[in-house]
Order: sequence, then C-alpha cells, then structure tokens
Amino acid sequence: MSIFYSVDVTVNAPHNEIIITKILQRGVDLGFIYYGWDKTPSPIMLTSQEAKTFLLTILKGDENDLSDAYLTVVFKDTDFLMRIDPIENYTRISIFSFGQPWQRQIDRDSYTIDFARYIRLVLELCKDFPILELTTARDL
Amino acid sequence: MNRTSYITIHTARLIENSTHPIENITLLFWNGKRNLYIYFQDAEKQTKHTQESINKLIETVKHDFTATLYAQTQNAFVKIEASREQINVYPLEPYCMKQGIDALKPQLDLEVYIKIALGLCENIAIYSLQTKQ
Repeated sequence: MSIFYSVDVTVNAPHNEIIITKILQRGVDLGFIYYGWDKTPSPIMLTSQEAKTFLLTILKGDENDLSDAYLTVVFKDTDFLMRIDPIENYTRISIFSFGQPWQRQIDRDSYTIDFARYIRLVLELCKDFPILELTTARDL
Repeated sequence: MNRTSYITIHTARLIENSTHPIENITLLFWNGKRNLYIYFQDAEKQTKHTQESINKLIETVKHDFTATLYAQTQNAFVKIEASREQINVYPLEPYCMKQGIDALKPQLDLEVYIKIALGLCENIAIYSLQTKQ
C-alpha cells in the first residue's frame, strides 16, 4: 500500500509564460533536473526552456484534459512530479508522487514523509511571489 | 481568493513522545528559543515568558487544553496556540508584506509565517500543514 502525498502552494502571480519560466528557472538554480515523457517510453531530460515549452504545449493542447501537464523532477536524493496550474487569477504549484520521499521518524518504529523539508523547498521555489495559500495532503 | 490569516500544523503527539526522553511539547519551545524567538505572555509584549511560565504552558497541554503565547521573531510577531497534536500560528501586527506581480498593494507574506511555524517543529513529525482563514 502506498500513500499519495502532495504539497500545493498558490502564489499571487498570473499564470503565464513569464511566471512559468521564472519558477522553472528558479528550480534549475536550486538544482532541479526536469524530465518529460512526450510519448516516449522513458523520460527525456529537459532544460528549463524545454520544460516550459513542454508544459505550455500540454496546457494549450486540450483544456479539458490537463492530467498530463506535469514534469518529473529529480532533486538531490528525492524525486517527484510537479504541476504549474492556473487557479482563478493566480498560479498554483504542486509537487506530488514522491518517489523516494525524505522521511522523518515519528516513534521508534515508524516514519512519515518529511513535509517540513518539502514545504521549505516549495517556499524557496516561490520566493519571488507572495504566498496566498499552502496545503499539504496525504491519501491512502 | 480570500486572504489567509493563519497557519495550522497537525503534528505527531506533542506529549508522550516515545522516541525521545524529552517530550515534543518541550522540544517545541526549545526550537523556538534556538531560532531566537522571544516568548511573551501578552500581545502587548509587556511580560516575557520565564522557564516557570513555559512549564505551566507545557502542563496546560498535558491536561488537554490549548496553550497560548506570543512570539517575537527576527522579522515578525505572532500568536502561537499549541494543543496535543496541533500548532496554530497567527500573524500579528506589524504584518510582513510582499508586493505581488500585478497587485496594487503589498499583501501578507505567508512565507515568513510558514517558516516561523516550521521553526517550531524542527524535530517533530508533521502530518499536515494548511493555511486557513
């Protein structure tokens, strides 16, 4: 049984090419490595420019189906999926499906995801914008 | 979208922590001190918390009530509520603001307050964090 975790943050910035580029570039500065699928059996490593094009192509393609509009991100010893979506007049950045989640010990035998570390990472990614909302989620 | 006004963290139990000889509620106050938070008993910053008054807050939580205190951090002033498995952090004046893109005036900068809340939980497992109104 796996648990689905996510961290979603809404920033006060319009969802457009400039903002997406800024967020993706900030990710590169932090050390993010982006991968896209683009109908290939294995992921392809993308530059921040290619990652932006990848996201925008999907977002502009079919507005009814945005389920594929995510990037795979490898960062240090963890990896996750990332989406950058419009929400009202703002932009929401979500990271989720952590492949190798950072963990934190709860008691002698059990561990949970280290949300604090992922939240700090997301805040660093969005430091150019005022944060309007941040939520974490977990689903069994 | 409505303006968010506080941060709530659902943590591992703040008391009866089996992994550590020191209970999480004690760690929470230590974490704040280590991050140079100055604890006050009132919002007017008249009375600082002493170790004795902090111990009373710890006892309050152990008896299933909510402990309330105020903290001055490097860049903000907040109200903190701690209960058995939850910590709430409320921004107080003067607020930390940031200018948004295309925004007419600066807005509350939640990044600062989320980091303050995380600073209290340095070595405590977090089950969820949410910003709420």
